[in-house]
Amino acid sequence: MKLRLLFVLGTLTFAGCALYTLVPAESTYVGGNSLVVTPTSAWNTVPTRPDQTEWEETWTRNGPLLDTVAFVGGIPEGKKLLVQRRKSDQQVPAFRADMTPQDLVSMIEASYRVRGITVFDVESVDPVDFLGGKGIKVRYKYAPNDGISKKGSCVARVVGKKLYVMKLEGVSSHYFDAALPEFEQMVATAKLEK
Amino acid sequence: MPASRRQFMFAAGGCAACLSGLARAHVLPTDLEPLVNANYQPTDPDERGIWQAMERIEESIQTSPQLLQAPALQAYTRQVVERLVGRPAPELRIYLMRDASFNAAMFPSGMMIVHTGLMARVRDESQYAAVLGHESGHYFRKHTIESYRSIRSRSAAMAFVAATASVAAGATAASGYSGAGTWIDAANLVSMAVVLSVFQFSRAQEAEADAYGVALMARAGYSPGAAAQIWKQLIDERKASAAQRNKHYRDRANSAFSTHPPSEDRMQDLADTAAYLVRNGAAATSDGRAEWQAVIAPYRAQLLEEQIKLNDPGASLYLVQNLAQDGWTGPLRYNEGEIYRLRGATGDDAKAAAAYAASTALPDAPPEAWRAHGYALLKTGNVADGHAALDRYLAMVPDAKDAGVVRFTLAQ
Repeated sequence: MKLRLLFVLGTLTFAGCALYTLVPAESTYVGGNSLVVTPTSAWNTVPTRPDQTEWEETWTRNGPLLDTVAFVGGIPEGKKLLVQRRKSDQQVPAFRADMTPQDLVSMIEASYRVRGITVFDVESVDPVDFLGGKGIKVRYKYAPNDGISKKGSCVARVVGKKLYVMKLEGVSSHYFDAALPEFEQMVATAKLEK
Repeated sequence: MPASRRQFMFAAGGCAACLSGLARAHVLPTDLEPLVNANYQPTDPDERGIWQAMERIEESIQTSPQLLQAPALQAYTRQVVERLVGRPAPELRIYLMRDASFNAAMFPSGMMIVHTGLMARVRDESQYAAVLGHESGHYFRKHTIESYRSIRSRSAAMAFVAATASVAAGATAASGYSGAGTWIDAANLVSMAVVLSVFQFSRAQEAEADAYGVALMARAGYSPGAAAQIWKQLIDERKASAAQRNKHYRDRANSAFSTHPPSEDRMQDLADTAAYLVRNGAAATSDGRAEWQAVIAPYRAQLLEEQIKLNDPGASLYLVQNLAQDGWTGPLRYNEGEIYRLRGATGDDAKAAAAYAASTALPDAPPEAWRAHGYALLKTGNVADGHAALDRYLAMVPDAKDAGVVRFTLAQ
């Protein structure tokens, strides 16, 4: 009996730990191998969430509750930022290549709101250099239901009818601001895989 | 009909004959006395324990970023509750929370929570009073302590459930899952599992709170029929939402495991109770429609935005079209366009464009309607008019948060 309990606890422990892997500070493929980014410090890949699409990859430096960087590499038309049940009442709009900046902002915002986040305030939307052209950069504040305020910066661009996204999320006090310079540097140097 | 409801009927009414005036409702609304007064303090250890746990929850609510800072609306809510209970209620502390779901709760320590999702759907003061009256029912009839005592004998089982859930939450946390309700929410819920479980009221308690609320409304001069009305609106909205997603409406409460009676039965119970009270002399002085509209007006845009950006087109169209029964306004047409734009089905671009155009033709069009109108025109290839609309937007809000990207669009 005791042995069985130890086995179960051990399995749970290793199941949790084995899924994080170290990302060294060097050029690496992300987002379904469709982007190349160059971090200047070491990060950790975060295990896949149930609502994560095949085009997304997430990293963290201090743990996913404190800071994350997500890379979304080439969502095709008709697909969404999140995996959702087809008949969910609340849905993230599907990506369309003819989306205006306003549509892209709404899509990004909906990807938070459908997860039960009601407090979501866009702080700025500006053009940004991304993957060799102009994309949009959305800065926002939001309040997950755990009561901890967070900030986000999401960069998006449509290239060849596919959507490419890089996103930083972090706790408003310290973690977002601490990761922002490196995130912006990764955005500025990100390249599309040839 | 579950036996427990019938037993409750006798307990509340005293005798079956008393209920002859009620076709379906099972709790006589006039026989329910409040068990809590303004100076009430818990004395027994069970209740004191619940109060202490509530104080911890209340502290986190006071600093929550979801708290809506709206003193006028808060004062109005207090005024409605005090009119319902017929006396000043200094023991109540009211918190308005930014949460798009339809909900309100009154905790045994005197803390009351009202979601913005409820305020978005209420059409007049009587409907607001109906929900607040129901919650008051749970509070004044001390349902929480009643529930707690009924589950206390199962505390060993509860502890086991909590411990099991802790292991599960730990495993989930380790895998980094942060979807709907992050794992930290789950951990919080686990630590509060026993406390929160006392808010799972029984069907009999829900029926009693319904009857109590309707009785309070009648006494305060609100139309008691408003309780059934708001329930009907909610059912109709859910049906509209389900239809948009091509699924059958399912009454979420209509399950053997649900503590709530099936929604349509409940609506009928409320309507019957109201009819009984009206037959026995209840007369509404006013539905408080003008008062409600005046107090909610400054928040209307925010309440609509919270709902519409969820991209639940059936529910959102239901809400907007109902508000438009008093006439289409610029903001309502703009929001109608937003619903179609987010839905993105075949033909929705044209519907959204028409709604934005209609909004901008009205004198009270919000600046965002001009932005949306501009982008809609650009999508159809009408660059000159599209740019003119975006220029108009920037002229109205030069320091708009998205001014940078709009100027970039204009420079293309």
